[in-house]
Amino acid sequence: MPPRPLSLPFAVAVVLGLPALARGATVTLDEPEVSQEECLARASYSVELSWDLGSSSGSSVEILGSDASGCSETDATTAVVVDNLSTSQTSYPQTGDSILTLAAVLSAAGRSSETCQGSDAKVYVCVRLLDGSGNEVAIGSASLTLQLEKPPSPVDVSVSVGEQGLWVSWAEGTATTDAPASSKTYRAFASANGATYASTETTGTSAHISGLQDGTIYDVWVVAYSSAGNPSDDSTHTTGTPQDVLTFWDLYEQSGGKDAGGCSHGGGAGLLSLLGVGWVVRRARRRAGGGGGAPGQPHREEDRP
Amino acid sequence: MRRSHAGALRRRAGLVLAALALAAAARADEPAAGEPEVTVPPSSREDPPLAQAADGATRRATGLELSLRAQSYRPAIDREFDGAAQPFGLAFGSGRRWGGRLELAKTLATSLGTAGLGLGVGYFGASGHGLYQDTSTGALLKSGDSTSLHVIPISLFATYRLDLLSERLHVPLAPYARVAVERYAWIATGTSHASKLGATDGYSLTAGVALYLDGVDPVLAQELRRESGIEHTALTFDVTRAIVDDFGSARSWDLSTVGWALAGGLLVTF
Repeated sequence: MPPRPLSLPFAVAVVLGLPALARGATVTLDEPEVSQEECLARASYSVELSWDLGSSSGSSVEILGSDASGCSETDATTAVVVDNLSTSQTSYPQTGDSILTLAAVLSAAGRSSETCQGSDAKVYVCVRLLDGSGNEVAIGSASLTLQLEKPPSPVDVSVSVGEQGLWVSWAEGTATTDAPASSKTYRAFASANGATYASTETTGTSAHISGLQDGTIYDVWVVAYSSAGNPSDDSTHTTGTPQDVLTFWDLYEQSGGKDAGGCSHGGGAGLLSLLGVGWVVRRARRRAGGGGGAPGQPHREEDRP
Repeated sequence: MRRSHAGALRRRAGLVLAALALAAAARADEPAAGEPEVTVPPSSREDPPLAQAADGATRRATGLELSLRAQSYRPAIDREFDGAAQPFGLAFGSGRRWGGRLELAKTLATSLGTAGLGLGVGYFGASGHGLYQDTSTGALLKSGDSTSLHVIPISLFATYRLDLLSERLHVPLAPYARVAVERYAWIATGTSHASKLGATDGYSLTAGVALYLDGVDPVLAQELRRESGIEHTALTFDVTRAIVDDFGSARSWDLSTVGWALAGGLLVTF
């Protein structure tokens, strides 16, 4: 029995679909991790994304939310959250678009209102290219991590005095079941008289808090942050008091040092010495014929290749 | 057959160490296992004395000399206070510090040794913590703020190296002396404080010895001369007495060295 020929529509579909399958459609989320705070504010948190659907042609693009990679509508909880986008559009939202809220994505993925509590979780955002009949031509997906766990509190916090500032150092806390996330960054805080000052965020284990007032006692603590920005509980609180600090130059001046900085006080002696050496150099160069080579010194031409 | 240049440099590093331990050791004639045999000129095969350059030429070059030296330094700033105060010691401690100097000299005469003039620049730094007064005891305690003193010595120097002796006695050593006019540019800094800048002039006297490495591997010395124009290389060891107080000015501090400054380095002549 001769082999059955392929139908024309099927062959066309294969030809049109191959480039997309070969290249693979890609979706990129501006923020692939969402903190617990952002998750709790999901009704106003905007999910922003861009995509590349390859060279496939189609008539419209839609965005989906799902609890499974690939956003299959048969074996996953999936729903369209934005539809009828132009095929020339490669990011969302653009000017004039309404925002795609995290709440909409979570709802499409079948996540309940308790989604923002407990352990880390993932949902998926997909972009699908459709042909004129509404059939899928290409699809790409990206995962959106709900990073809900917090890191452990920093430990061994110590404070060193600075002038109008404090130096704070600490050690990374040990992860617990209550706080299993890794500590990615830290920030030290100082508070007094109702005002709180913070250091810049650092990946190290020490920081400087500036802008403080000398002589004021400050309450000092450190907070660790997870990769998504979930804060740990405060470290144990300690105190520190900024004070006037003497630098080396202050110590020298206070001791009655006679130098006041600035250029040499040696009068013309130093300059005369330099001029004297310059004169000697000039004389020597003249004697040497200006080239610096000594008369009679053999030139090792024979060593050259 | 010629060895590769990189291999030659690695070999030189090992030979420098060997030279320190066995200054008079001759180069081994047999090549190492797996190493290509080196064709040595007849004059070099006869275990030439270390003081003699590979091609038997005089050691004195007539070009440029480049020297990189590590030098100890402790300024005599606290001497000004006759023991009543020690701001440098309080801020930075009493240890000896090490800095570096890069010097370039031009050989001007080669009769009875090598005489030259040059210019050098270096860096010495001291860093510590600022101090604050404990409100209850009045004692000075170390703060978290940092404070530093950076010194950039710039020198114009005349140097004389008695390498004539090494040629005649076939010993790879040449004593040398140096007189320099110094300008120490400096900057004192501290957290949350304005920096203080200044410069202090003076002079220095140096005495040392150069240990020539040419004779350790004459073939390599020849290769270096041909391929990079390096006439000689030597290790240098010296002591320096620097008097840097603006020539006794009553308005200057004392950046002279406390005692003698020790230095070691590498001298390359072109």
